[in-house]
Amino acid sequence: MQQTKSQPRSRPQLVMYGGLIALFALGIAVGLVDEAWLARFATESPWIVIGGCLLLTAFAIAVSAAYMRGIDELAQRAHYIAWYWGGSVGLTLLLFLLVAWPALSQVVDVEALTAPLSRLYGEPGGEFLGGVVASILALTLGYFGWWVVYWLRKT
Amino acid sequence: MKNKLRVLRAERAWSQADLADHLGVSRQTINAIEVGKYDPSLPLAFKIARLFAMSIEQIFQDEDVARAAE
Repeated sequence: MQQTKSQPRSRPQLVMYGGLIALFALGIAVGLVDEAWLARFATESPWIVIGGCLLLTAFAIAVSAAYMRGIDELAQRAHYIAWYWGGSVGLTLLLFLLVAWPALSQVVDVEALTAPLSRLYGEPGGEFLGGVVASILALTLGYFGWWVVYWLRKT
Repeated sequence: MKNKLRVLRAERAWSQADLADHLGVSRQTINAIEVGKYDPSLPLAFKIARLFAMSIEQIFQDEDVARAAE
């Protein structure tokens, strides 16, 4: 009988887990910062905030690359499929909202529907930001839903 | 696609996790291949064939061909 031992985690996997934990911790930390202080800091030192956000974006992309290298082909395929179908369906639903909005606004309470985004509307470009958040939500929900279904069906 | 992975693994008394470790993939991937829910990539199929010292065709069989042979 031939026995095997579990292989130690590879370097990309260690980078992946470390990066994911760091991103999660950063997200929690930003959420705990006082919103008014954050808004004041962004007004007083915009370039520091923009630079910090760019660094965070680059870090998130690097962690994503390490994550994709660290998982196996079935897990990678689940992400590809979920991004294509989940993302496409999410975008198509947004397109439906865009086209059908005048009619929808006659039959649904538009203010209630957009209430979670309306707090952005006081900001400069707030309505655009509301659209950005709605797009991210639609893509992420579509992606996540598709990923869960694919993964449960395959494993 | 049909395959003999479960049989080959059983002959060696390997668990799915053992085989996964040999191939550098997850246990879920081995399970999905064994039950025919996932067809491996060509590089992984070659890796499996090398591990069992067989050709890919000896391990994996196209279902249409298998049905025609029956």
